[in-house]
Parts: sequence; C-alpha cells; structure tokens
Amino acid sequence: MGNHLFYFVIRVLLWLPIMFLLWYYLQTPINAVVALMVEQLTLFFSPDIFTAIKSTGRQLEIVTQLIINLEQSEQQGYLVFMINPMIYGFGLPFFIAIILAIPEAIDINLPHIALSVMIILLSQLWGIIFDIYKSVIFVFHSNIGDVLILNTFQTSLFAYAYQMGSLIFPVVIPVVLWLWVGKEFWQQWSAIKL
Amino acid sequence: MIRFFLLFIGIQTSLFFIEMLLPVQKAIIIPFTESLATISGYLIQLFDQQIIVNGIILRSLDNGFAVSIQSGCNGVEAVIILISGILAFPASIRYKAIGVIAGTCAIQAINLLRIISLYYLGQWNTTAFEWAHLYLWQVLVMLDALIVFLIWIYKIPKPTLVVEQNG
Repeated sequence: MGNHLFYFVIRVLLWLPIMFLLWYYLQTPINAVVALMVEQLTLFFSPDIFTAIKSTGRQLEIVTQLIINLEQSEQQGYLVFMINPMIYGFGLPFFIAIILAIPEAIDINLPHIALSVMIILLSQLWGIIFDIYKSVIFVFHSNIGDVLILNTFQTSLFAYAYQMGSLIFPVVIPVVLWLWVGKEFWQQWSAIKL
Repeated sequence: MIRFFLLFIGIQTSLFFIEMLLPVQKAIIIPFTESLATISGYLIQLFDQQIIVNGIILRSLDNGFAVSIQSGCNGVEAVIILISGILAFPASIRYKAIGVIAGTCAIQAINLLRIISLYYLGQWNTTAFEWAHLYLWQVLVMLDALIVFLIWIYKIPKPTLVVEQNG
C-alpha cells in the first residue's frame, strides 16, 4: 500500500503542472463565462450599484454607478476597478489533477465529478462576488461613502463570507470533494472501513 | 461514510469560524504567525545573514525586498482541514492525538519551505513569485495535508479481534 501512495503522489505532481498550464491558457474563455455569471448575480442583487462586469482576458473589470471624487481635483467619475478571478478558481486544476492521479482500476462516478466541478465553479463565483462587495463596502469607502447601510452584524457577515471565499474555499473544497469522489480509492488503505 | 463527511464538514466549519474570531486571531493566530516568521528568519540566517525579521515581516538587508506572512500563508487552513479529517475518522483518541501533532508538524515544515522559497523567489522574479504565492504553494500545502491524512489512515492499527470461548 505504501507503493500505491507513493505512485499516487508522483502522478499528482505530474498532472499538476499540466492542468495548471491548461487552466492558465484557457483563462480567457473561462473568464468570459465567469464574467457573465457574476454580472447577472450582481445586477440581480444590486442593480443600483453595478453597471457591468467585463472580462479583460485574465481579469474582471467591475463597472459601477458609484460616483468617486478624485483627490485634489473637482473632477468626478464612476468607480471602476479590477478583480483577479484566478485567485478564486485555481481549485479547479488542482481538483482535476488529484482526480486524474487516481488509478484507472478504481471506478470513479462521472456525474459526481461533474457535480464537483460545478461546486468548485460556484465557490469561485462566491469568492469573486464577495471580493467585489468587500471593495465597495470597505476598500473604497473613504472615496464613495456608505454604499450599503449595514449594521455591525451584517458587516461582520460580509467580512466572514469574504474570508471564506478567499482563504478557505479555493483550497479546501477541492480536497473535500476528492475525498468524496475518490472514496473507493483511499478507503482501501484503511484497516477501518467507513 | 455519511457520518464521516457530516462530522468532517461540521468540525471544519466550526474550527474555521473559531479561527476567524478577533480574540482568537489576537491570542493565537497572530503570535503563531510571528513565530513562523522568527523560525523562517532563523533558518535563513543559517546560510544568509542579510535578513531582518520584524513581527510577521522578513526583509532583505541587501535589496530591501520584504515578505509579510498573512492569513492564508501561515498553514492554519491546511492544519484545520487535517485535524477535521482525523477527528471525524473512527480511531482511538491516542492515535488521533498522534496524527494531529505529527500532521501539524509536517504541514508547518512544508509551510516554512514555502515562506523561505517565496522570500528568495520574490527577489529573483516577480511573475514567478506571484504564481508560486497565489496558486502553486497554496495547492502544495493542501496536498501535503491530504497526503498526511492518507498516510495516517494507512497506518491506523487494525482493530483487535477478541474471540470469546464458551465452556
């Protein structure tokens, strides 16, 4: 069994760079889809704040209706800022690499993999959307004032949701999903069967 | 299996929530992160004296480049997921304790490697640093947690079969 674990690790380390390279070069079409979904969600929840979410290749451009006063100038403009969606989406190549590292002899449920990929994409959307709201509520607060009227609890909830989306979901969700999808593989190593 | 996953997710969620509380950050996480910086600085000084450590910041005296160890770079998330997996898995308390202690050490050893490598990578190439920092090392540390968990369940002693004799 020790050999099986060793070969599994080797396969993961071989698949990781391949999956990451593929993911990197497919970022433009992936981001186009992500931008569309983020736009629909932000316009649904806050149509008076956001105007459009555009994909600029590997970044998202967030166009708002919020007036921002430029420092040391009487000029005003609409707040537009950039988000890097990749920092919320790298769980996808990671998940696919650790799935592909499972030997072919093990039966893997393809619908489970498809569902897992959807969950990872949803977690990416979560991270992006709360990053956008974090920017509007906290980062640009001194320039645009209070955009949303939130009490202390709601503010803490936004901060918590952002931290979940940025620190935890991208790395934790792929591992949890792999333990679920690959249970026939890793359970064989344990003397205790679940 | 369902029981394992319910426990796994429940323990994780609780530990992540506790970890994010401000009093826990002040009392445990920040001091822990500072100790990581201190240890990283000490290890670097074994072969490179041109470094200074201040709180969570490691700075090069050669070129002023600095790295700051923030949340997400202190390995706490990987440790939490490992602890959750171990606690959710049916095994003796003694064996779980061994797994938690040894696993935490293994993850933090990889994390020290991450900090030191990023410190030098950032001085060499910004693009490489960003890739390693934002994506690669995040994955490798979590992969380490997964491998530690797999080794732990592989090493779990087989349950002892007790045979009762009648008459």
